[in-house]
Amino acid sequence: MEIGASVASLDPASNVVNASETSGESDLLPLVFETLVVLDANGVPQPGLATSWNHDSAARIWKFHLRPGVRFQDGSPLTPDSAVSALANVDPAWHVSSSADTVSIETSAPAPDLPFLLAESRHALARRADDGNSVGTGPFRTTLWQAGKRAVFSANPDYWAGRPFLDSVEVTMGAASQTRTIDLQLGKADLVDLPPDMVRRATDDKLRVSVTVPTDLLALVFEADRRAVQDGRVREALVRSIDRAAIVNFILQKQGETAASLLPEWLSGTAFLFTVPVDPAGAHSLWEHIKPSPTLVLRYDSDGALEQAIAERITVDARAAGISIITRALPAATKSADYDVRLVRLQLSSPEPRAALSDLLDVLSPGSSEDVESLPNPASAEEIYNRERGSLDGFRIVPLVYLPRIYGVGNRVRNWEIRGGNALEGWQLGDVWVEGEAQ
Amino acid sequence: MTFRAKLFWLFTFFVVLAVGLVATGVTITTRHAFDQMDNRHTDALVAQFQREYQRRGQEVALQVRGIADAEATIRMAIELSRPNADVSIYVNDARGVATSHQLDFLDFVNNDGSIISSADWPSRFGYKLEWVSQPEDWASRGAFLTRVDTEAGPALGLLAVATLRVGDKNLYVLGGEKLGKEFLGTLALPEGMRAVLYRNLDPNFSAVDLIDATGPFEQAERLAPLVERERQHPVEQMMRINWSADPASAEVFHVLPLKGRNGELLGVLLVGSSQRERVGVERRIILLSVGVTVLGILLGALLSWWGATRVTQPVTKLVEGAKQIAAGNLNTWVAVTSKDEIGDLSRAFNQMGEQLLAQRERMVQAERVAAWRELARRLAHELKNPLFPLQITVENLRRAREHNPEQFDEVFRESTGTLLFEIENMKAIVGRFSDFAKMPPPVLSPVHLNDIVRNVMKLYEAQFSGVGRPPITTELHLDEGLPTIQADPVLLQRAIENLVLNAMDAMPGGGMLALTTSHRDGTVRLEVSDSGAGLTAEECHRLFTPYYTTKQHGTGLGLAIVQSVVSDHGGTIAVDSEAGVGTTFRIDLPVTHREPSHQAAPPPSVLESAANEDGHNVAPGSNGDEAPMGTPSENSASSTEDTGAGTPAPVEEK
Repeated sequence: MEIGASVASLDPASNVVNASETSGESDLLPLVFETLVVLDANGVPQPGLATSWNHDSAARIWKFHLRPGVRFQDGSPLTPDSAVSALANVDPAWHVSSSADTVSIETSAPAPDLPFLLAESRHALARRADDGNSVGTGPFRTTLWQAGKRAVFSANPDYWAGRPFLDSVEVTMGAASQTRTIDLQLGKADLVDLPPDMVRRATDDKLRVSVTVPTDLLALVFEADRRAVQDGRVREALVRSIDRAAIVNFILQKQGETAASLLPEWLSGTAFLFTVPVDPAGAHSLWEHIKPSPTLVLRYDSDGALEQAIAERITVDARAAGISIITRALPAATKSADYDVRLVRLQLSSPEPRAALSDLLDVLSPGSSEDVESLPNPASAEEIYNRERGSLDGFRIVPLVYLPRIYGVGNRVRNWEIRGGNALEGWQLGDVWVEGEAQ
Repeated sequence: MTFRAKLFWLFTFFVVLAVGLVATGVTITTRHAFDQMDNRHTDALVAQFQREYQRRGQEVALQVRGIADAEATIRMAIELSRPNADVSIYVNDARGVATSHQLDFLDFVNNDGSIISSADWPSRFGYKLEWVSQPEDWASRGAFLTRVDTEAGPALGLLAVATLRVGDKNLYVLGGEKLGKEFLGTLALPEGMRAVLYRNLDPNFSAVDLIDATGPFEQAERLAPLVERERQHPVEQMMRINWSADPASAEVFHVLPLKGRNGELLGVLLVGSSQRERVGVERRIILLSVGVTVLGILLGALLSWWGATRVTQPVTKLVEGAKQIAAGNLNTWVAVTSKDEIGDLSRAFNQMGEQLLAQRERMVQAERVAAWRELARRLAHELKNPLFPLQITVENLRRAREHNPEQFDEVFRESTGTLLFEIENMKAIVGRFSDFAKMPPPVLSPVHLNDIVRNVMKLYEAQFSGVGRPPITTELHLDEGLPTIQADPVLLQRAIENLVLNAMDAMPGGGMLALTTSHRDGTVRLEVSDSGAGLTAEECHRLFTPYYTTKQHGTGLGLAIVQSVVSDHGGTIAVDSEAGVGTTFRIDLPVTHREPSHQAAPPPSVLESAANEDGHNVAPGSNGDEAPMGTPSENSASSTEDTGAGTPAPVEEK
């Protein structure tokens, strides 16, 4: 398998929302680590390492019954205590305890969506082995890890659901998209992730392309403390100048959706209510009334070719509307305040709308976390919509497009399936087998 | 300046003039030739650029045409000709095609002018280039210069458009090269030349748009006026830029306007030709010219000197000969070495010398004879007077012996008295002549001239108003500040007495005698003036000639003695005389005694007199040593012309 990302480490706790920093890691985590709860294709929680669960009437105290006979890849059994150890530091608001075969999680506030949270890969159960490496209970165990370059996972014969069909999974990281496509075409790779602009070529070459539901959000975030964008008209002019459809049709090769909301339609069901008209003339008119007009600096992640193409297109649209704007490519980790607006790529963390929105807003507007917390739990669709709408007012956060995950699948790969909401859970290779390989 | 120096400088001047004219001519001709060569060089380069420009344009047009004719492009055109064709799938196609064809710009443009795919600005898809879709025969137009909007800003491109028509729809392929430093870098330029491009993309001059093969042009502001002028009048021009005070830094720019397809000025090409090599060659030529000039001048000077010497050598010999003759050495010959005019002149000079020598011999003989005759006449005259009484006395004595013996004793006594008297008289006459011949050398001592003058006046005071003669009034104008001089008081007094006696003789009817002393510039002056009848020019001329006198009883030695005394004191004597007014003798004596310049005192034969502006001046030191014995100087004759009439009687010696 080949992926474009260079994964530095495989640790559930490090998997965060910002897709630009964790791209690829979320795909690999399910090979080694499992969560108490998993989501089915419809996003409904299903038993994972927990066979069942219940909660009190306030949904604050949850008890999860562990699946018996599960062992970590180092041979140690999964016990309530080990589960507590894995979850204890995940969320400071949680009080995790064990009793008999159950793990109890007590939250400070009602948490009816707790199973959804526990289904996120970052809540997978991991144990620190004697050699210092993290081991999980998944179908594969790590036998070679070269950070950012190569990893080899071998089948876990003691896997509680039965040994996987594949003996081993070899992952090459950091491969160029052209290389990945060619290797897939030549059969040197059985599964690769593909950028949108390679889809047509893969399709023309009769390769199987698997596209998930939108899992990532590309958005513009205006810096709150930048003087140039304090004027709402500046932000609005830029937003009106952007032709999202052109981005989706040309740059994403229609492998994505225009975004006017933070959550995609499949997740919230209310995305259709958000619209942002393409209005270059209006943007031009608006900009002409801004005196003096600033020169905006748009920052994007220098490691992302897709982000670069989109940032350049935004620049083209903006300049066509008369807006003065320049781009600045910086590595994602660079802490620089010398920009007015940033193009960010965010990964939806949860198939549960409230949790996903909360995580998004945590990243996009960390200063308004209290508002996020003020969302009722559970929150109705209307409450989520209102919160989402409120966050978008004022054009501080501007959703642009939703991106799916696109995989090229070799012709001999069988039983590969990505279903609906579990697209967020990464590769599920436990039931996959390769035709022609000795089983 | 000597004749030789004049000839030398004249020859040198003409040599310098000739060499300078030749050097200037060579320099001007060389510069003109260099200018022409430079112009041809630049013209060739400009023509080369234009050919290169056209060739690149043809290449671009061919490449774009080739892209349009490629199968993939035809397929694209076919797909796009269908209703509701999806253009998005071609958005990245241009980049790969442009890379494979090494084009800087490549756009696939839809029938409506919208960009389907752009290689240089991929994000610009969907935007319209309406001018591309306008009706135009792009195939015949070929490549053209145009402004291209890129992500980094406007640029200049050499573009071509190829049209691919499928059904009723066109697909335009727009591609070309960027006219930038890379383009300039590909131009093959000879050493010392460079191409600078100004991209006329802004309304005002922009320094960043001025580039050469290495990037932004340094010192762009120096070329700004040139570019600005071209922007105002887009025609081919030339201009010289001096980058520094060193002329070698100069660069001549040939300016070419680069126009777009609508004739608008889009670029300015400046083909610079460094003048360093040319200036270096010019400097070498100038140095060579200067060297040749200096050598020529030196050689010319040497030749001039040689020529002048060769020409003037006979003349110089003639001059030397003339000087020898002027100095009295008439026995002087000049060698005759040529048969030209100079040779004739030398021969004539020698003949003249021979003539002069013969003539002088004759004159000396004549003078000598005349002097002896004069001396004989004087002696005879002087001696005849006492001889006659001697003869009478002796005859009386003989008659008394014969006829009156008784009275013989008395007669004898009286006669012997007379004889002795006359004999004494004759001895005195002979003694005076002898004294002049044996003038003693002066014995110098500090003397105050005024005292001597007063002594003389006191000595002759009684004679001025003597009984039986008209009185003579005397005046003394003595400078009491007169310095003491080194002189022999006896000789000096004798000379002054002679002058006073001469003045008294010049005023037989009475008159006024004035003696004046003064001093100036280390010299004391004594002037003795009388109010006599004056002297004639002839008399002035011969005034100081020994034995010359017009008086009945004079020996002609008085003024000769005066002149001898003055000369022995290193002084000079002159005479001014005017008929009817009187005569003034002027004696100038040095305060500090100086030896007379003549090496040997002339014998009492003939002394020459000289004249100066003050009158007749006898300066034994000036010409006396050069004048031949017995030969009157030419100056003495001229001095008499100044004196006018006047007839002073030559004084008797005291």
